[in-house]
Amino acid sequence: MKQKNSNSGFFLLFLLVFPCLVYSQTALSGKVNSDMGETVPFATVIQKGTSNGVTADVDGNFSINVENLPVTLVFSSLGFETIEQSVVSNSPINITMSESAQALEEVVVTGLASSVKRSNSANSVATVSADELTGRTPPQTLDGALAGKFPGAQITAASGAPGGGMSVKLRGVTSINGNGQPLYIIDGVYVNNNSVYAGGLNDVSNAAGGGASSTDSQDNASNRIADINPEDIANIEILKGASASAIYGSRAAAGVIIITTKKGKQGKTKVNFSQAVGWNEAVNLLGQRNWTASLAESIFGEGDLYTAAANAGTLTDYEKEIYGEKGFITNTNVSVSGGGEKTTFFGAFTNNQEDGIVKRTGALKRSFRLNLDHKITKDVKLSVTSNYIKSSADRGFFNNDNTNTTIGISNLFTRPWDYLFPDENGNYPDHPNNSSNQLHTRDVMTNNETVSRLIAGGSLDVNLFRTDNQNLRLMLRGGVDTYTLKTTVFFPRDLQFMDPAVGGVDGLSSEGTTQNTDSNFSGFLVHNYNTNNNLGFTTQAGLTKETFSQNTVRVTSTGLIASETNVDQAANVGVDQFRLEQEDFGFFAQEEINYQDKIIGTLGVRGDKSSNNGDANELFYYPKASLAVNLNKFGLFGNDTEMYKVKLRGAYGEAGNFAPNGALFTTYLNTSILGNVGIIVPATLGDPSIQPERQKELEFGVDLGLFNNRVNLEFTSYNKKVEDLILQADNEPSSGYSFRWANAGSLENKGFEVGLNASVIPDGQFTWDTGITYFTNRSEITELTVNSFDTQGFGTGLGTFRIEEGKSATQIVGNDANGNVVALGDAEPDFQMSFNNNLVYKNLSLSFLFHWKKGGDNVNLSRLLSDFGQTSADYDNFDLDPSGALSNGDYRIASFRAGIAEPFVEDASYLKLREIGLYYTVGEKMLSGVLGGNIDYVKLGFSGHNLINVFDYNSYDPEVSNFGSTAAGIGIEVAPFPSSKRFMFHLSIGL
Amino acid sequence: MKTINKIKVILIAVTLFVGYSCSIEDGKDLNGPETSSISEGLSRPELPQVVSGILSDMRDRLATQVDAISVVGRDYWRIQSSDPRWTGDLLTGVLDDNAFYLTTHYAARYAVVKECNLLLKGLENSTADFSLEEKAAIRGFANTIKAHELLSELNFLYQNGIRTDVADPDNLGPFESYEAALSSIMSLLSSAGVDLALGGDVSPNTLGVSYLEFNKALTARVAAYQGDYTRVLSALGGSFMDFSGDLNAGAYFQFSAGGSDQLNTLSFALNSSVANARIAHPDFVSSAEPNDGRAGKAVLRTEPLSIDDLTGTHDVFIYPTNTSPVGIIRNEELILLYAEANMTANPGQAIFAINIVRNAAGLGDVSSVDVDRLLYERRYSLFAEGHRWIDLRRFDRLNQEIVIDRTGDNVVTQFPIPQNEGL
Repeated sequence: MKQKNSNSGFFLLFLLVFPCLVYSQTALSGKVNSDMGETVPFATVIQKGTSNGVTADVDGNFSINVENLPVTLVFSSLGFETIEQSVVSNSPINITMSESAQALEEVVVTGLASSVKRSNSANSVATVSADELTGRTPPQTLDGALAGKFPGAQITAASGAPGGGMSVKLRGVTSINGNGQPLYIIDGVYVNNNSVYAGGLNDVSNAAGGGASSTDSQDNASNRIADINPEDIANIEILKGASASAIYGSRAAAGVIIITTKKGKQGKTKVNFSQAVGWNEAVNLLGQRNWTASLAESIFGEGDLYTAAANAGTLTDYEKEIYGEKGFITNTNVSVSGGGEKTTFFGAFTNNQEDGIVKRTGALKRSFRLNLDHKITKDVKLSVTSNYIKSSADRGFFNNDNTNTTIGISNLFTRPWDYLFPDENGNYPDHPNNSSNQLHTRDVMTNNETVSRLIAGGSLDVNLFRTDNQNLRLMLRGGVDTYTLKTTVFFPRDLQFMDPAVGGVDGLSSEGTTQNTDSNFSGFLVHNYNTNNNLGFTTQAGLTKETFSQNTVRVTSTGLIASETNVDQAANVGVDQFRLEQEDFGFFAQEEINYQDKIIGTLGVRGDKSSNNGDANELFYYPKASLAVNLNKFGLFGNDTEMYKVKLRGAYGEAGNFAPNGALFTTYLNTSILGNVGIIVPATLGDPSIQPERQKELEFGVDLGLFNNRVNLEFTSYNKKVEDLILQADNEPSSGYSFRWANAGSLENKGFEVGLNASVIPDGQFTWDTGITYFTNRSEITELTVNSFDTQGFGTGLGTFRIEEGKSATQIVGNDANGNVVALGDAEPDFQMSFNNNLVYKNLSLSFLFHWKKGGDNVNLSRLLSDFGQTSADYDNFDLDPSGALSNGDYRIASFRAGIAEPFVEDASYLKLREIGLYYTVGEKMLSGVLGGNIDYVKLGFSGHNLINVFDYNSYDPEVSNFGSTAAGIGIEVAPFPSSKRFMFHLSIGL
Repeated sequence: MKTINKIKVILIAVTLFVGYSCSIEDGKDLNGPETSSISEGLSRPELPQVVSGILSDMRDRLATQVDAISVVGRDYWRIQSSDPRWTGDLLTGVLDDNAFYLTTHYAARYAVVKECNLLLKGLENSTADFSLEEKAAIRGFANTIKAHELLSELNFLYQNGIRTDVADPDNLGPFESYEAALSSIMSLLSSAGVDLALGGDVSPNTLGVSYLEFNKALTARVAAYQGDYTRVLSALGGSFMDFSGDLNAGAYFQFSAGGSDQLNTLSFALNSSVANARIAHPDFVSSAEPNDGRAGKAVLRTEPLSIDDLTGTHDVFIYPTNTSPVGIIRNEELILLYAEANMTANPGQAIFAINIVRNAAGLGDVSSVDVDRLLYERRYSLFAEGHRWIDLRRFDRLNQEIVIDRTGDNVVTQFPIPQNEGL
């Protein structure tokens, strides 16, 4: 994998042999190890200031002859920081090289089948290394681990429920009603990231039955990228917009996240074992209203009940009772890797278990991976990756409802003197002030998602021919991602709200099964040609094919027999089924021209067609072009062209986004009345001629490397326009359809991103690396050919997201005090910053990541609901009403009554210590006496996630979304599952 | 075979496969029939499914609709602690043109209108062997239901008017004034009445009366709203009005717990909490004549219920279970319409009719009928069925009769045109 051109082999050979013949020599020998205690094979050792050099062997051993001492030797190896070591005697030299932060950034993808040196890339491609991903603290989910780690992303956890549920938005809103989440590709396999909601929950909560202005599920299903085990990942590259992702065509408008998993290396078989244990706890509890007997009397007339409960010692803080658990976390990972000359392998097993901060919630994930690489001949390489995952999440019963049955909402209506605990026989009392006893619900209801998933891919890489100055490669890839997702929802009959006497349905059981299979095949030809005057051409062309198939069947039964959970053991059985089949076909061609690494230009085009378009065989073309100029290579700033770096770059590309499945059709729904089956019209009118959205992105940037490239500065500015926006626009409801699908608008995102990486203290016993990012984005709906419409929210009296020409795509509107509908906020942050540090002193390392989101608003309705329940902790404070007349609770209720949304739109800025890790590594040397010297390293440490949270937001966490990962409209809060922070202790051993 | 040859074979096979898969079939709708499958030609087996769909969908958002009209008419307060706009907007009169209490049932009623229009269109384009009588019956059914659904929303929007010509989603007719829309509804009912008289009934029918009887009853109601009492009386003649029959006989929405069926969400248990309750307006309880059996539709709670400075002592209790049927138009209303239509022209008949209703409620006879009397009887006979607000409005008694509970509360005369209508 080394970046050497073809004549360097001869050159090295010359270096090896020539000095032996000529000079009288001192032989120096030694061994190269990594800071992880592993040997570093094939490192290059050069005598500084000369052309004298050797290559270490597979075990890291080297021997070099020098004329006389002292000398300075320079050790370098791809993936490690280069080290200079002065040598005064010819005693054995032991060198410890540390892994380079930039190591994995040295090549970035440019095409479906090619990569380019980062220094030659015309795009700002963000890279997250394994170390950045999991090195500090094991993330709960892959997408969650990306927060704050590269510029240009807004990553939001929808709730704190275990098992995931994240939204990743790259460079602003890219779609309003289409898919706004990036495409994930793991080792060439298109990976499904659907959220599949469970049946039965909405039947109880009726969340969508009231005022929600959208058909989105509010049950907060997790998204399936949560299944991927972050520990398996070697490297993630993020293509943030069409200028970089155009070659992925009509699925790439929201960006592409390309994930490469770990592979085995030739050499000694390595075994890594790591175990982490820890706990999570709520980030922030809101506390209780300052209750007294007289307050209880004045509000509820229940002063005597308060006093009685106080005397009996049964006053209970139900917020603590529900959210006060410390969830146990255990994370076990074993990996084995190695291989011989022809075959290498990487195998890993992970068991990840995490309890939630609410009893009976939690997530379990077991992942098994085997990656094999085999060289069939010198020119033919076969790679196979396979990953089996079993994951299960118990997510409780939270978020919006219209029946006061969710645990979250019930809690807001519970006073400390309400006694909800079961008696000695396990009988729970009815809630005296609410339609559900949340302790009972928590202790007996089930909301489980279980996934059994196989992701497998293979690629065959063939060198068809090779001459001195050109070669032609053929690459064939195939992959499949198939899973069965089971959702189980169970509300036993004895729950308060299940009782038919109060209108309950006498128990509810729902089983949902989703079979999902996505597969992709592609074939590419890549031709490299270098002319004599160092002009390089890389030509590639290929075909791709993807198929998607989903079949969801949900059976929901009510009127259960005894306490049976089987859906047939019931009086009433309802079934619904959803199927999706999609087939895409595409081709692409790309030409890259490289003039002496000075000027690098790329031109490409992708053509795509899909059964999801109005005309399945119409090809949509997505062009791209880019240019990078390395000014330093021209010698404009001195002759040492590697001491610094000045690169100017620009890129343009287009990419698409499909209409959601079904947007083509106006499909009857089924119903029945007294056993007569019937058909009824849907809420949304289809558009048989709908086209993909088209994103056009133009990106410019400057990359600077200063002080011997110890400081790297990257500045990027972009402008992306999305045309033919696919909108589920409002329609005149008198037509029979409240919404209609249409290509009916355009939007624009403008922003810039700054990244600074510096080795503040590069060498020696103490090193310090730091990284700072700053990024900002502004969007505008530039054209709208339908009426303005609301996406997510509960109307202008409470604050709602509204799509309106000339306004931000994420504006929040609501009624002001004069009853006018005005913009009250915007979910788009003013800017985001992250501050990443890595400090190493000998064997001790400390790293931490701060993430600051400045600005960006939420609609916070949790407090209003607790005001209705008279339980808000800040109810009796006086800091909201500008006139000072009303207490906070009364003020919010009065505002609500008057239809004024202002108090509910809140600044959702935050500063979080996303990650911190403190580790001590015991190296091979110190362990040489233990177990016969078979232990390479032992690493001990502590880590934390979200340990510091600073925000002035009146709820659990400003990072929240009642409507999950919806494309536009993240940041509405209705009694969510509170977020948690995590504390972990680590032990890992390398054999 | 040498390895390299094996590889070549694989390559060729895979290349062929990829090449073969270039052509793509158009996407298919896998999850149900498209609406065009009906509108482009109705078949005989499709007919009962479309009819059932219409009957079923008429119940969609019924509870929100009845609650909204009953709250502004002060029949009862709808208490829902998680959505307090019930005790906010609807009582203060500051109505949102995009709030659920308006938009949900508005869209639901027009969805049924759309289903009727698709049926009518499908009937026009049908190549099935429907006889002239069958076609007339289907047309009569569709237009009667359409009229009912349009009337429901016209009652809310009142002088703002509604659209009645909505067959083409890309070319909707104008908003017609209240009077014009009532006329349009009446002409739908008239032509439907002729069609049903010719064609007979359509299967299935879950109403409990024939579609013709339903058409006539509805015609009487609309004629009363128009003040056309002659027409009220002629329509009642063809309806199911029966002076000696069960006052509760009539057309009903039916419910069941079956899988894709609906439950009656107007049914709440007695003594429900603030989470979800319907509390009879205290004025309904206190204004009842002694021994009026109809006052029993409000049942004394074990504890009063308070929310938002409103305290009530009685639950609305009309539907004992969540499968109890909900009346669309009952004999009791028809007899009261008969009384109303005769009130001026033929007071003796009015007194006769009113006394039937009063006697059934356990009250003695009256000897005269005026508007106050009529409104009292209608209030108690049709309590919580969505009439009082409309009745007070058409007799111009809203400001006089509506009891304002809190400072800041107001009388609602009509609902705004939903924001989505784009006006």
